[in-house]
Amino acid sequence: MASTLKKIILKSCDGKILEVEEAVAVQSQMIKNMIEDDCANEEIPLPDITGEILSMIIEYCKMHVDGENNSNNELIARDADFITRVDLNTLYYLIVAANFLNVKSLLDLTCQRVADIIKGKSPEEIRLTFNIKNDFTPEEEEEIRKKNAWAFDYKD
Amino acid sequence: MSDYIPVEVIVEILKRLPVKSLVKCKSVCKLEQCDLRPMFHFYSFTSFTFQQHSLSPPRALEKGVTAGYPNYAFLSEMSMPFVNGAVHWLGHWEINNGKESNGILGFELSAEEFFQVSFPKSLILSRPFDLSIVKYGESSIAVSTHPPDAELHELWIMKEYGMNGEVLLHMHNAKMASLDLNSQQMKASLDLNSQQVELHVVDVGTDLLSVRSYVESLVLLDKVGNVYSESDVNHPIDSSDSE
Repeated sequence: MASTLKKIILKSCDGKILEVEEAVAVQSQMIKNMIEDDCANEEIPLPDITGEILSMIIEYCKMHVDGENNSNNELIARDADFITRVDLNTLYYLIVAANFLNVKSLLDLTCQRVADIIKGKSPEEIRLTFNIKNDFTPEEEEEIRKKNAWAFDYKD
Repeated sequence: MSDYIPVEVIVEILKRLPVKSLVKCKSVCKLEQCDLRPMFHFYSFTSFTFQQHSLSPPRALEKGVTAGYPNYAFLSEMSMPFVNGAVHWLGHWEINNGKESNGILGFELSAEEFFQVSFPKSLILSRPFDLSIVKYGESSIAVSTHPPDAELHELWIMKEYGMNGEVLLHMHNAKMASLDLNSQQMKASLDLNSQQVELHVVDVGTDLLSVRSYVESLVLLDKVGNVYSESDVNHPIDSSDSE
C-alpha cells in the first residue's frame, strides 16, 4: 500500500502546484510513463494546462480510482454528471489536456460529449456552436450539399 | 477550434457520429488535414468485422461482413445504391447444405442497422457475378441479370419498398431487351404482368447506380428490336402492377 501513497507533484502553466497520489496520477499514461522512466521525482511542469483544468482532471481521475469497486452503471452516471457540468469552452481545454496527458477514459468521454453536441445539428448550427469559420465558397458548399443531399433531406 | 485540436482527436470525435452527422460535418468547413474516406468505410461496419477473402476468378476480391450476418459476402467493386435512407449491396450467403443464396444486404443509416432482402426464387441460385443491383426510380431497387452471352436480360424491380426498414420483397419480372452493360444505352422493357412497356435509361458507367424510367412515344419502341410483337404492346395509363 505504501507505493500508492507516493505523491506526484504537478505544476500548471499558471503556477499552481498540485500534489497527487500516484494511483490517481497514473490514470495519465504520460505521467505513468514518466514514473516508470524514473522522471517523476521532481515536480512535473505542464505548460499548456491551467490550474483550473488540471484540478478538474485530477477530480476526474480520483473519481475513477475511488470508484474502482463501484458498478459500471454508477461510474457511467458519475461520468455523465461530470461532463454535463462542463461548458463548451472548458470542454475544449479538457480535450486538449486529456489528449496531452493521455487519459484515455477522459478523452473518450469528452470526444463523445462533443459528438453528442454535434449530432442532429445542421452545418450552420455546428459552425455557430463551435465558432467555426465557413471556408467554403458558396459554389463549393452547394457542390458538397448536392453530392450528399440524402444526408440533408432524409429526416432523422 | 479545429486549428488547435490535433487531427487524431478530431477523428476520434467524428468517429462517434452517426453517418448522417458525419456527412453534414463535411460541409461545415474544410477538413483538409483529415481524410474522411476511410471513416465512411469503417462506419458502415461499426461493430462488424470486415474481412477480405481471396476468391478464384472472375473476381478476385470479396468482402464479408460477419457478426450480424455471418458469412455474408459481397463483391467489392459493385455499385451500392442508396435508396430510402439505406445503402444496399448485392451479396450472397451460405444456406443449408453448403449452398449459397443471393440477396441484398442493406444498411439503414438512421438506425445504423443491417437488414436483409431476399430474392425471388429464380434469382437465388444465379451466380452472383451475373447479377447487379441498381437504383430504380426514386425509391426502389432493381436487380438485373446479365449472364454471359445472353441476349435477353431480366430486370427485377422491387415492387414496393417497405417502410421502417421492413422490406418488401415482391418483385415483378420484366424482360429487358439486350441491356448492354458496356455502354450507356437506352433500352426498353416489357413488364410481363401489366404488359406495360417502359423505356429505361440505364446509367452504367463506372458506378452502375440507377435506372430511370420515363415515358416515351411508342413510335420509338418500334426501333428497339423485335423482342416483342406489336400486339403485345399496349400502354395502359394506369399502371396495374398487381399480380
